[in-house]
Amino acid sequence: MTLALEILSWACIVVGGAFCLLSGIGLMRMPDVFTRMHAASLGDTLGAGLIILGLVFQAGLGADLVGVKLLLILVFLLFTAPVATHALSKAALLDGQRPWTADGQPPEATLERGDIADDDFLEEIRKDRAGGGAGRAD
Amino acid sequence: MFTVASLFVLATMVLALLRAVRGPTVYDRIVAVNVFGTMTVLLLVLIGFLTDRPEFEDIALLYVLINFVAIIAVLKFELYSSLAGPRAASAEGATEKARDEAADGAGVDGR
Amino acid sequence: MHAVNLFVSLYALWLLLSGHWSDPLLLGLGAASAALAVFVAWRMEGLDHEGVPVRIALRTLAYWPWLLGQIVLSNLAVARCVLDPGRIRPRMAWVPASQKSDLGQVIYANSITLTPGTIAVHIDGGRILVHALEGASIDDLRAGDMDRRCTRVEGDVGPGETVGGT
Repeated sequence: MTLALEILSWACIVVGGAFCLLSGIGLMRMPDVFTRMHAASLGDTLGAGLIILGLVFQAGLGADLVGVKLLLILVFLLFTAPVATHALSKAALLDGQRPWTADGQPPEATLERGDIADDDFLEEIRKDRAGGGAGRAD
Repeated sequence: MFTVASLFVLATMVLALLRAVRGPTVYDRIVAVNVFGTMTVLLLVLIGFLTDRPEFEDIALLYVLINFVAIIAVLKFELYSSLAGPRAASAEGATEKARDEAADGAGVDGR
Repeated sequence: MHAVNLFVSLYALWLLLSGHWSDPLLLGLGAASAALAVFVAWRMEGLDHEGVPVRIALRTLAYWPWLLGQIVLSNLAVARCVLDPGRIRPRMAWVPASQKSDLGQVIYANSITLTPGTIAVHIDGGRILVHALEGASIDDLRAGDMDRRCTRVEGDVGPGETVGGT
């Protein structure tokens, strides 16, 4: 391994670790759930990305497949992280959490459970509950 | 350098745990657990390089997917108070277990 | 057709992860497990129109470098906010989305969420509810650069692939 590659990989890993630490600090300092999610996505994207990139420089894309597996980990992480964040924010909003704003005003747009007309899953569960209760009664 | 990065990641895990303990709402805790899962993956990868055992990459790969499924499952339970789809509960000959779960869900709903 | 695509992708993934190239017994077992996964996906009705979007793969490859650049830029912005929490001005607002198909809208919403500082919360028809850490990010999204690029990735939309189609 050449010296330049070594230095590059060293810098990637340490900067990635620093971004992870920043996301942890943001998790503690931010005022509400939604802003904390922004801080969390810091570690999910650039933190994890730079650490794994630095490790790929170390391992190389050789025949032992370590580098390929590392890249697969990164790809899976980049595909799943936004879906989890989206589900988290939507669940928090539908549960009645309101985003914090700097001036204390309510946000310019928001979402209630009633606004989602096509939530078939919830409707069917309610129907199920009613039917299930009747089934248990007899 | 792997040690330095591992220490960064470990510090983040401590902060995430603190948030999970303090978090006023359920969602704060879930965000913290999500970050904790991601950091676990990174720590597994780093440990694989620290101890020179490439098997750890396979474990990390699995952990990414399990972490994702776990977060989605917890959120779905939190939002709908039910994990099974409606069809599983209403199908003919639904087992006693499914009914028990439905009863449990109703209990959570009425808290 | 989707089943064949899914089988080939799964088997390629299996080969990549296992690293066994020669032993016929192991290769056969890998093919069997891939086939089992395809069967389960078929049983779960996962093999619908959005099953395996192979045809946009090339255009996606052209889109990813730009997206990675955006991710780095917004990471730096959010890192500045973390170090100085007085800067943040959270906003939540609707942003228009011009994509025609479910897949295109998912690509756009995922891109929004993947860049730190903005989270796509809900999709309703042709608009996306976005929560932003700094108010300026909403204006950037409304300017529509990312929207246009996602529409380009989506490409031509055939009949039956529009939003809400099955």
